[in-house]
Amino acid sequence: MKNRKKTKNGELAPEEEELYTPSPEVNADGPAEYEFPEIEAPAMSAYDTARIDKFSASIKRIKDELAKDFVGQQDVVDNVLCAIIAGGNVLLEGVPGVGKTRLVRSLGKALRLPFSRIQFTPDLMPSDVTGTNIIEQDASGRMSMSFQRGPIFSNLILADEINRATPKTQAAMLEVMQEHKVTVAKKTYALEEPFFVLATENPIEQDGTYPLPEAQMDRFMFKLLVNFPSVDDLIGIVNMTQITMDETATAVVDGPTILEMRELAKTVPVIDAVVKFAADIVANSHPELDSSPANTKKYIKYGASPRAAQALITCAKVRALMNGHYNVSYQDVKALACPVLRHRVKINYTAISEKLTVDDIIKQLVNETR
Amino acid sequence: MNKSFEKFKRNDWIAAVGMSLAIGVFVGLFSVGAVLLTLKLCGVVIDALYYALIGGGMAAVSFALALLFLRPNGKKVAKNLDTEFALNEKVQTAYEFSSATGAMVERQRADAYDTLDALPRRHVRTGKLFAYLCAGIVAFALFFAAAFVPFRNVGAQTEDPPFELTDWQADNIRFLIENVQKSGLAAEEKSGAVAALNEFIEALGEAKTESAKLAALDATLEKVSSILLPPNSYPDLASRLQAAGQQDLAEMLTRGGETYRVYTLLKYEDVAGFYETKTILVEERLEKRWEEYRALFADGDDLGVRLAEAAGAAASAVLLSEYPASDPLCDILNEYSLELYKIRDELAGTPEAAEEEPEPEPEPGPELSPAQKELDSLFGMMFDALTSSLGDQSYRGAMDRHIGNYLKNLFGLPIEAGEPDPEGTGDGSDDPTKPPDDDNEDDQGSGGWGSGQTQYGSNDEVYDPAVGGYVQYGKILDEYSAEMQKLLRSGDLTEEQRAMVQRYIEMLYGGIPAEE
Repeated sequence: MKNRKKTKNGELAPEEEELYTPSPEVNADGPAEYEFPEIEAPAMSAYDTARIDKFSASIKRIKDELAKDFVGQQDVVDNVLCAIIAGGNVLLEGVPGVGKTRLVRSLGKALRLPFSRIQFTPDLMPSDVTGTNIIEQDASGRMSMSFQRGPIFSNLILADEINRATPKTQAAMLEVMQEHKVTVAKKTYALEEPFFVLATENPIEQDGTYPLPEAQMDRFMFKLLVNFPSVDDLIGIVNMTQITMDETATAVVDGPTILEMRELAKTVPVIDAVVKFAADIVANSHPELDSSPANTKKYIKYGASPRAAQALITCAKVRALMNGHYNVSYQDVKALACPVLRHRVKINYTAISEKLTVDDIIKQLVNETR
Repeated sequence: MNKSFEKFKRNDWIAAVGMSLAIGVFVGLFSVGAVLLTLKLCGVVIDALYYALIGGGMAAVSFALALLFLRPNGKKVAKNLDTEFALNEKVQTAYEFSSATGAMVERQRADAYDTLDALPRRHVRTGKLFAYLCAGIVAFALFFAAAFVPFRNVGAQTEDPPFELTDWQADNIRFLIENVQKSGLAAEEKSGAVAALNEFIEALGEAKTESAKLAALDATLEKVSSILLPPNSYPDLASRLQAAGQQDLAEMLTRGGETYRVYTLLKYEDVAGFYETKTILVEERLEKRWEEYRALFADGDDLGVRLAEAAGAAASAVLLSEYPASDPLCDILNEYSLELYKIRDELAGTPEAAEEEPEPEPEPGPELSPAQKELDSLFGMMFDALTSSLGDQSYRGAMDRHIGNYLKNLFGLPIEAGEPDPEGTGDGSDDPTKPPDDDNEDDQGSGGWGSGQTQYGSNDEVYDPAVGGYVQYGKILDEYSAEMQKLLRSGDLTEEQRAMVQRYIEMLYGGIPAEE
């Protein structure tokens, strides 16, 4: 964080380069008493062909900006963008140092959205995430309760190592993800849209962690695997960070534009056959059904929930539009099958003993469905 | 959808019609070829018009079914286009949302139309074309092959095997003729049967093929049956009597052949001995039954009514059937019914006689009323006449069956079901002159062979008057044996007849019982 000047009051002045200035009262500790303005989604009738063309152009600009700070991992970038536009949350799994935090920071800059990072530790309490009421005394000595908003009150949240927090804190976080609201002391505070959480899990250090239960995992639209970059990408990362470690992406879109894009993506037509294809994939992941394939019965312990089918179609619409298509195809659904299903499908010991990964099984499942 | 799409659809329609026509033609040719080839190989000739009808009909039906299956619709055309040109469901989406409104769907539709307009001319699907080509080649090949294959001469293929009468077959037929001549048949029937069998030998001598032999055999058996079996056989008459309520008489007539259960005439050295033995058994059994029948009229009450019923039943049995006057049983029944009517009328005219009817006693005697006396004598006449007639008719039936089975067995033809082998040995011997195997005690042939205490599963039934019904032959074997022993001790048999009965006992039990 850059050094900031102090005001006459002794408070820190807002960051000069802060692109989003909600109110003068914003300080480094997070916004205090601030009511976010409600941004209404524009009516569909207002859209025309120009806005449809603008969608792909916006996506391209965002990607170009992200490429300045994030080398390689193009599929991760695409899927994260897809999730943001679709209105979902993403669970990232990757070893430390692959750029998860940097990605979210860059996204925040490119999308002109406030970003906050929450490092989950075992002693983190729910109120540390959502905020809490504190007693304040004004100049006249009058005592009053004041709600101090937590770091969750932002647009882009990086929930780092969410599996290190206790289940209670996880639950509080996940409830916010689902509801986009915070309720403290019987008072509900709405979160600003677009609201996006990118949670991470460290796959290496499992000691002292609280793995997310299946029901909570289902709330994430995608689970993305951030692999170790290739040598060429690594060279690119090294060369880039030799210049500066800071994110250099500039804002190309803003929150209302993201919401516009979200509404626009919803209008992408999808034929019944493709919807059925998505539904069949999810249904075939259930071994207890008679119609499921033999491999499902052999390798899968639990299948995906109906949220998976919803996620498949919603994200397929966004993906189609991102690729310049105006309809959803089977290819879109197939491409999203692994990100959508890998954290929703539980494989059994037979698959593990045969050294099959959940991605292998999902690919088999998709091939057998059509 | 736009003009390009409609053009593709029209092309698909043309292709579907063309493929359906091709399928129709191939199926028509294949059908004609298959039918023509089959009929030619079987040597059957039919009018050419039928081939045209078969081919045309099959072609039309195939064309219609193929077109029904192959006909394109918008959805199919769209799907085929997307698949063929890898359009990622663009055309299908445009088709499915063709009537939807909205910026996105309109943009999608416009994009799809642009793509359709840019699509190249459709290439021919070689995969299916190859299959059609193969089918066409097969159909044409079969048709032309059938057209050029000559008709097959069926007569030459199915040759009638040759036949030549052997000496032993002729000897066996002559042996049969001797038996018939020695039988108890009436002179007219005997001479007729013998003549038919002689004619049969002559016909076999002239027959050169198996079919001729079978034809001669069928003709002989038919002729023998027409001579021996009366036109109104006792089974037929029995059914009439049964319908008229005369159950007992009907049963006796139906089972007339089984009232004296003898399975082969060859067991007797003298066929006439069979006839006499038969008479004894028939008389004994019929007499016992007749006692019951007589008892019906012993009661003085309603005598007139019963007489009328009996007369009516007998008369109706006669009237319902078309019997010639020469039928002895019909004559008996007719006469019987007339006598009964006469007695009834007399009873009606003499009420004192009806009132004086004595107590109900089945035995006729001096204490019987005049009407009962008359009935009693009538019963006696009826008994003799029925016995004789039954015996005659049953005997003729037995002779007819014997001749038929003998000849069939001689020429290796199946014998009628339920009828025993003329040999009755059950040892599978094909030689009718071969004597039966007496040592085969385990034989389960008809007649319950074996020791008297052991039954060998005979399911044949005989009428047992003591029981009033039919029982398995094996169960009354001992009683049957006792009757024959009584006959032997009676001294009423000639030496020849004694020998015949002894032989019969030996065959049944393997020896004369010790107590004799």
